[in-house]
Amino acid sequence: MQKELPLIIVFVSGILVMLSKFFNFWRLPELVATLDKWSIVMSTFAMLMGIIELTRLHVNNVRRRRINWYYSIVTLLAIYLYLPVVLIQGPEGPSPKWITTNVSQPIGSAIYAILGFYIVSAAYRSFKARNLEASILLVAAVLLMLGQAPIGEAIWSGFPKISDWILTVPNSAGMRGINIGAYIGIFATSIRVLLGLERSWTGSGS
Amino acid sequence: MPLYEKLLKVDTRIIYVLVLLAMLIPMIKPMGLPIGVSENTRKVYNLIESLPEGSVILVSHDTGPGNAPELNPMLTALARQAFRKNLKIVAMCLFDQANGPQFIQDSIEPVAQEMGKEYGKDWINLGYKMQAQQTLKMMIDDFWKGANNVDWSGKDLSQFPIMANVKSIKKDVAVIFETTVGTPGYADWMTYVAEPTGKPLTGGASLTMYSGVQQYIRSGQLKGFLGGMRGAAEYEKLVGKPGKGSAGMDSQSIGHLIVIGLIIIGNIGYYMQRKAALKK
Repeated sequence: MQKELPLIIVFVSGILVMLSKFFNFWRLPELVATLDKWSIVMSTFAMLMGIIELTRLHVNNVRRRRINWYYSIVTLLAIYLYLPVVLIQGPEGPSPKWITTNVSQPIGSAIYAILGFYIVSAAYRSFKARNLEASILLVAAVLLMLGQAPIGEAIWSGFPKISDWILTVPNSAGMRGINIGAYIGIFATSIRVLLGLERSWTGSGS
Repeated sequence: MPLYEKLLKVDTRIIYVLVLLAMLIPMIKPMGLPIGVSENTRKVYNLIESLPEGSVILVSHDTGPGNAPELNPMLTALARQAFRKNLKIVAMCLFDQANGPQFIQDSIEPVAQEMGKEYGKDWINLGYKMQAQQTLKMMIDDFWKGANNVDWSGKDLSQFPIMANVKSIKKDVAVIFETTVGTPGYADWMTYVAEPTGKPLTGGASLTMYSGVQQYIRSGQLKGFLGGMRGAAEYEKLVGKPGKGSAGMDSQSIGHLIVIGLIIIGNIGYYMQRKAALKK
């Protein structure tokens, strides 16, 4: 029953949600709305479980003096010092605001900004016209870069138009193909999950 | 060392310094390159401009700190245009719990204060909402329930006059303005809100998403689009108040030129290397 019960819950919930898209009988819409609400509540519990699991992992790191264990102290301090501050002052309070503005945001921005340096270096090393496909990619990338920055327009007013055409015609066609393929894949996987053919999420393998 | 090897092996530190200078110098000494306004940006502006006074714009600001420099200026420009036309803004975020609500507050509140608009009456920050898809589904018919009946600070929505007229997306929202970096994003808003209710969906996203949303613009599901910092700068230009988006455009221009220059150098080196190999 330990294995069957989750499969039954998934099947019944999934079918109800699917039916609610096509039919409006009995109390189906209210039932599905309740399921949605449950799902939000369960996410909150999942977050709580995440905190507990994270705490266990990092406390063990510190206890056993694993590699870079001192970073675990930073993580634990970040969680357990920030939590009471928000609980006392509220998310809009002066201390949470100060921490978000002066710690969280600069760190997040800095990490993302570093990517810019890597991307430029990677573009220089790997963007070579080795064959026809790579050459097309290279020319398209250069035209797009010139079309997106004001300097391209200052050099030649045709760059934004070419860039726009690349984005709206060949790019849209390619993206639609990719999306249609992805959604067919999602549909097939969903059916497999509903029918219990795909069971990896239960932890027992397919 | 032959020339092609020098061209192929430019020290990474030199590249990093070049990028750094390309970003810094235009910020210190702006060049003020003219920015043309694209059709997509104009559509966003015109859509907001076409709304009657008192209409409600539902904003979902779904970004983290990484993309905030691109997306926050869009929100500031929107607030300026909306408040000028006496429109109402109901803002929330579905992506970054820690930073999203603060981004909303920092992007809209200074404009509101400058233009004499009041929190709770002309705009509201609902903060972060969990489980985007379920929240959106609920908000269509019962906005308060989807928002858990509270604003960002946990105050009951009944305390805010603006919310007296916002009971459901279906009846009370005029336009959805979504700024996103991926998921939750346009696909969620289209599937669960815009398509079932027929509400116009517009907004902006990071430049990395520009190619992915073109299909939605072409199909008309997305009514205009602000593409990255460039989109923000164009929108600021239309609103008539250059801000952080415009300030970053010169850096972006020089940055793009550096990338193109390095790619050309790399390819000249590669071509010379191939030629030398063929000779041998």
